[in-house]
Amino acid sequence: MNKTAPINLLPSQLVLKGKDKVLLEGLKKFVLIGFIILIAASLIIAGYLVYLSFRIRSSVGNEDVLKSEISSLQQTEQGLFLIKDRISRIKAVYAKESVDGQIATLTDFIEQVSGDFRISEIQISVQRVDLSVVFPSSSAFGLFYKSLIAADLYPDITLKTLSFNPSLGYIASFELSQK
Amino acid sequence: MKQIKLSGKSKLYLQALGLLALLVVLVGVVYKLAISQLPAQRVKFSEQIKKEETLRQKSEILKSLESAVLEQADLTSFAIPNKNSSFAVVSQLNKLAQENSVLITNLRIGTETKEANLSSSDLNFDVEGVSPSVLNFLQGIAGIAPITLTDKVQVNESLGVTRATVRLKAFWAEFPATLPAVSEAVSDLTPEEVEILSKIVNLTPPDFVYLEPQEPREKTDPF
Repeated sequence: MNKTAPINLLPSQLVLKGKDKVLLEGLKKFVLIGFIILIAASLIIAGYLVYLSFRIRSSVGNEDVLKSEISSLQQTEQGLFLIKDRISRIKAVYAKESVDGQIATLTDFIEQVSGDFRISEIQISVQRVDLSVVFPSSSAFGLFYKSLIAADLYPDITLKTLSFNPSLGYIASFELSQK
Repeated sequence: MKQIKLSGKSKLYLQALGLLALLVVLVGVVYKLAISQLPAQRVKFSEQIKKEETLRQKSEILKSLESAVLEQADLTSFAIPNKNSSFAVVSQLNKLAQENSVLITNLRIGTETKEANLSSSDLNFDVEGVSPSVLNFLQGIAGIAPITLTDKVQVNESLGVTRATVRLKAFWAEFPATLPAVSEAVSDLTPEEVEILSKIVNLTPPDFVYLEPQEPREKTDPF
């Protein structure tokens, strides 16, 4: 077989040999790969920026639609705003001390308790209830006292006075405290 | 001018180095653009999405509450009106007294006291009747709207007539003057607010006279 010699069409001064050839070809390859990576990175960055700006534009469109929806619900918004405002005031009122709870507890007890008695005086304050009750007999007093303890509405029950009046009967005064 | 003559090898090296320099410059430009544009655009995007999400949430909350909110707003406004509620409370007390067959006497309304955007005035009065009715009346006070708080109660019984001396407070507060901006978020009612609202629903609102709209009519005698 005939082996043909390689034909070099470049001018002889442009033909590199040995170390120069390796270095220059390496450099060219490096630059080429660098450009490829640069172009790819630029495309990715540009694509991402376009994607973001597209998403922003579509979100702005959605925002306008939502704003018009909310405007049409303005009455509801006013109502909700008013409810929240009023509830915050109601909360402030309910946070204040009052005797409403004491009244409810005492009234419930008096409605439930059976027996012969007559309430002659009640003083209700935030701290306690002072109660004066008239009983025709000692057994009526005992029944009332037992019911008062059994109802378990007041952790602190003090029998302050117990007197006897022949025309009225037994007069007992209690101090009831829920705290 | 003197021309520098380069050898073929140098020219090849210069070409390659020129391309390398161009690559470095372009990498720098792209890097600078990416560093300045990407974070700014990302911040803009996340802010916009957040804004949209806030509005979407607001719209959904308002739509879900649309049917009930007006009625609830009325109820809460009855509970804490925007004007002095003392007279509405007196009217409610009279109605409650009638229901319980008791008599209200010595009614006195105190002056306005303002405390942290909440106004109040004291109402002092006596109630007379039979013992169970007076106690029912006292218990019923907590169930009326406008809201009141009973400060002190003293009950005395004499000759079969029970008399209670009551001091209570009536409350009111001005309505909010401005609405938040459309883009501002609204939150749904919290469980605590729902609980308060359910208490308010059980209060007895005051009676109002509703005037029906009438057709325009001719006035025969203008004087």
